[in-house]
Amino acid sequence: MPVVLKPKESFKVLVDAKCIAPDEFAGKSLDEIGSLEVYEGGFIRKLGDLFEIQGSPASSVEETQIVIEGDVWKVCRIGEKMSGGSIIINGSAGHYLGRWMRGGTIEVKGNVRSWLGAEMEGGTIEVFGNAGSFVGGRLRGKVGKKGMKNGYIIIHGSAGARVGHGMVKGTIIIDGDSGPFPGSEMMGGKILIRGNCEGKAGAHMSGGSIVICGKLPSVLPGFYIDDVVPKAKVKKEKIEGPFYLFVGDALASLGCGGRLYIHKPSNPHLKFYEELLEVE
Amino acid sequence: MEILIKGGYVFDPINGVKGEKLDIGVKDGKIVEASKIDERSAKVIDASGKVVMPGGVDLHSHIAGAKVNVGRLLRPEDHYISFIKAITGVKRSGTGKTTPTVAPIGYKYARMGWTTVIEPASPPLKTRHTHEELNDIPILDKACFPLVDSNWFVLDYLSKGEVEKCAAFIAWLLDAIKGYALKLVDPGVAELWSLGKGYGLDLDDEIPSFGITPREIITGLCKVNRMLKLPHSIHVHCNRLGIPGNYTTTLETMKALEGMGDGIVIHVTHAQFNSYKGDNWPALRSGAPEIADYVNSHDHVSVDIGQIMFGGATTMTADAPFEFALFHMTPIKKWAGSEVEVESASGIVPFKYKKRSVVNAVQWCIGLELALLIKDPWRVIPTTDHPNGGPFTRYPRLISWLMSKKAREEVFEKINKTAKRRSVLPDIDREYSLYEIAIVTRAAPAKLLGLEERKGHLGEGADADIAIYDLDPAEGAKDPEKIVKAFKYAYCTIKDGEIVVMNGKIAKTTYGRTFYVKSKALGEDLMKEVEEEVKQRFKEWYTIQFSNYIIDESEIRYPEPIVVGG
Ligand SMILES: [Zn+2]
Repeated sequence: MPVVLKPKESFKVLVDAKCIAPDEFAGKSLDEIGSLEVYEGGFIRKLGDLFEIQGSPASSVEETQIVIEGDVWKVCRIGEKMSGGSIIINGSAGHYLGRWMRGGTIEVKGNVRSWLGAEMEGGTIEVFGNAGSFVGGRLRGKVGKKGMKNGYIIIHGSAGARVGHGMVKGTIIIDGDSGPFPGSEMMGGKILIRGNCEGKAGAHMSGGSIVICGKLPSVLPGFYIDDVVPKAKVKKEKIEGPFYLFVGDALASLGCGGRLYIHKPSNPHLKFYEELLEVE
Repeated sequence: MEILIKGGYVFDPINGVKGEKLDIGVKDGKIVEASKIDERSAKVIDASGKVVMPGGVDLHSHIAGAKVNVGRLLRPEDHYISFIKAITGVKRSGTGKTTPTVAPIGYKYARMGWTTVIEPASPPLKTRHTHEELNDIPILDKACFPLVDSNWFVLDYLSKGEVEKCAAFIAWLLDAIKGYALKLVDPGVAELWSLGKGYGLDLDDEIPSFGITPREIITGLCKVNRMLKLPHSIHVHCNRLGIPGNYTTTLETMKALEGMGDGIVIHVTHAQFNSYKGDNWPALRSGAPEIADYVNSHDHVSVDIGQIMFGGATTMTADAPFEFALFHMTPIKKWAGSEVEVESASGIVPFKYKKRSVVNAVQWCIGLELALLIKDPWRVIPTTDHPNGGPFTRYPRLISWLMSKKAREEVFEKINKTAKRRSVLPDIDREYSLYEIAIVTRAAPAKLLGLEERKGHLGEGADADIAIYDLDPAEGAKDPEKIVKAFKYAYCTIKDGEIVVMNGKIAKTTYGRTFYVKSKALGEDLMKEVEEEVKQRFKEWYTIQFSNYIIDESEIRYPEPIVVGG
């Protein structure tokens, strides 16, 4: 039996609710869960003040299921640092959803704000709507540090800017379009964008690969064309090409460890790169 | 409110009290004789088995102003997981470890038993910002030192040999922007930095735009300081800071001011960063014994150590060329730098001191050597140059190292072994007593600041700033962990007669004063003449209006002028 949270009213200010996570709920009674601390704006409130809480909590983290019925668009930090169990949100969720997540699953039926799965280390996040910026991204200020360290994020809608900023491992799949700078400062892992991308893909990347099936306005000058390949592979899925394969970003590392797969049929304006390929 | 603190072991060096059991009375924010307090109506604090000291005084901690704020902006990562909660009516919220926001600065100092803190580097043009932040720091009494070493007015007057006019300008400046003492940072370097130069500027290198050398700036401003009878000596961050081999420059700087007058004429700040021997970083050795020898044999110098603490720090200084060089040496690739028109410059680089690093381990030794080799505790102050060497919140650990050789040996176990060979620290047996700790953290800094009448002691008439630590002076003072715990969370802190910390927790939010200096040492005619000159030049040199430069007393929450020389 899951624990069901229902917002009592629609939220007027941002709510900081990092306690909504299986690790916090496991082994607690409904009353204890209701008295967990949250911030509504600058004020300390109890979880039970803001949500109706029903269901029966499980004793272990793995068995804990949290279902949120309703919109929590202004509730942030849900699922922070969770190591197992699951959260299902039947609505839209706020920012920092699943930040520093280590395991378990999060499912969102609506949209999410920015910083989804920021610096996550494991687990799965599935979003049926759209996501904001910095999906799986590295937090502000941590220059040279790692972003998403592992795990799997799939977004069935579109995503904002800087998908996978600074990521080192794991997979992000965007079924829709993406904003600018996907895979910026990326060091490893995979990003698949099935739709179009606004541009600047892979800026300052030094490892990992980005696959873009839709249109990309231009390729950054730090990238070299390497090949034209028939297929690209992401999470065992073979994606039909052909793809232009670029390597870069030379501005980040002269080794050009990053790979950029750009769908050839969708990007006829990149045809001039073919002249630069050596013909054998 | 009346308070009676009963039966504590009192350490009050200015009044010569060395841990005797005494009662302390507090009335109307001042300390009074215990017999004058009516025990039935007063709030009685049982301090038996505990240590009672005056509130701590920190004379060098970067807590407010433009560069501190840029440090916060530069380091959002410093704020993610360091959140203190607000409690309505009791305390405000905040974040930050090495670059804390205003509220935690006040609370964390008060929690350790500190009640007076000085911001030591504020470019005059940015001092309105400094005061706005000082206003908002809870609990503490504070003051700020304006940066004057690269000020065009100062350079111009001194290069022409017009020391009196320079003094008049400084007197006007201190009053105009509500500053407390003169801060010199790598004297003259900011003037060169405005041309993109200045790294390694030495005492006798000429600054071409004014034809003046750092030596002339330092001696000139020292004379000015004496003429104006300012309560604190000049506060000098010596030239060539953070460059191996710089201990000779530090010695030369101190020598240059021999015979300047009675008493202390120069305070050498964060001397650790200026006591380096060796030709380059890999060969870094300690120059602390030479510096300590000099200080021991000359009584015109006081020092604060600028200890480094292993872990995170944010270096910020008006020594912009040094920060630019440091930026290229560190793996954390972040840097902010700026120039302040006519006056100063600054740079900020996040830093991490590592136990494994030879350089950092030697730096750690140098700071402690200075504190332990300089014999007169009235002239050596333990600081971390917050947040340059580490945050001020690590003072309790620093105190434990000063008080316990065992604690120092434990650190030697964990740090780079080379450091042992390159310093004399392993051979030093000296351990500070609690009385000496009370000197170096309270009485001495209060005295050096010229605030000894009201701060740093528990005699009648002093401000009722008191710290009570849960520490047994006989037993507890031998155990480093107990020392750290006691100083980290004071049992009780009283500020101006109000209990602000109880059981290590904030009990109340109050706001302290801002001290500034008005010098009446010079004649009115001279002052007028110079003010007219400044007004004229202002139009040529600054991009802002003269009238907007002046900071009015009404802009300061609780202004407290200290009038001198009248
Ligand atoms: Zn400093």
